[in-house]
Amino acid sequence: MEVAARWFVYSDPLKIATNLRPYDTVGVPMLSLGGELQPLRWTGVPVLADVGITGAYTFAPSLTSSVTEGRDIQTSWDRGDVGLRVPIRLGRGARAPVVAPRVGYGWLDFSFQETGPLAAEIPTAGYRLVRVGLDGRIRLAGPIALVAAFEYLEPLSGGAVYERFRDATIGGIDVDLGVAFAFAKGAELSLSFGYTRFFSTFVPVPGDAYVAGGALDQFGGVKLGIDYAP
Amino acid sequence: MPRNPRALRRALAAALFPLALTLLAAGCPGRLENPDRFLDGGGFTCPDVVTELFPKSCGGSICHEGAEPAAGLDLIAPGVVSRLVDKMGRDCPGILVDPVDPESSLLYEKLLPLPSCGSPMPIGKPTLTPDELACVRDWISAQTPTGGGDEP
Repeated sequence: MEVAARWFVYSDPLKIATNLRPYDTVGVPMLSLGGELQPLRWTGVPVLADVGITGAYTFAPSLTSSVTEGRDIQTSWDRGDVGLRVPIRLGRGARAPVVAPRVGYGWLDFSFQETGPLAAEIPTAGYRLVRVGLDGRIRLAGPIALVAAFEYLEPLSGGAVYERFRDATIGGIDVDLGVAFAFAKGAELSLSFGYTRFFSTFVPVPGDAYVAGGALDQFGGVKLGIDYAP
Repeated sequence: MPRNPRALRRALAAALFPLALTLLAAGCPGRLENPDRFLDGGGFTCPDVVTELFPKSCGGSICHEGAEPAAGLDLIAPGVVSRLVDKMGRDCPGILVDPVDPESSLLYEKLLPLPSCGSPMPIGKPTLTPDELACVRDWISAQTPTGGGDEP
């Protein structure tokens, strides 16, 4: 489970513009389910045996947004990814640090059930991403390990908010940092902080309906989970 | 915890490397250059329709460019004007570019929010602004009629 937040702001919005609404929400409860398969485990070949196919899905079961006028808008937020990771042990023994390059495809949808004129002003996003990065783990003391991950996100598309602007280019990063506590054989309790940042640049020209230099769309969350490996 | 301090340092470096990379790679959003040009009186200059507007708004391999352009209409390759002026549309009825009646031209009509045939253009790219639409209308109007269509 996760308690998450989103902050969306435009950079250099035209001061007279009335159609560039920032958005933020904090303390959103989210549920998450993920897993990893190691289909080559049977080979017993070092590195190859640990190659994993990963997948995760996270969603907010109940979320509403409100505008200045006080009206509530039903909001949906979910994200997911599938990928491949290759854990590499940096040393011998079970305590050796592990680093895992990973690559995958992900999505993040944040949309509002709004069809009126407001729909053209609020930041509906639908990111489709290629994810490339690393994750790592170091045993700290006893059953406690430090876990970290970094991914560069290459959005293939960003959704409605970016289609309003001329020549939008988007980039992104995703970072996770936390600790894991092994409390039983094959079972861990993990606590981590995740941060995702999409940064974009627009190239408006005079006469455009939407004018801003770019946008910053940030997502953060504190995650508490249980991992089990049979 | 590793007892060898050097091993510990290496292990920490391996773990913190992604974080350092994050700090280096964290991007910032774009800035708006010369915001005053967007305010009233900032002025607007029409882009060149053939060499600027078409490539920006209509180009792309799945759009009006390449060997098999959408609707059989290539708006990028040389000879655009001869493929448009007084020529009939393939998938929608009407003259693509009619200098005599610019606002009835299929090219212009497809750029409006509610065209009489098919989807409004461009798909997947920013809608043309009123100023840009006016530029297209004026460009159509400036073409020289050929005096005939596709039909013999």
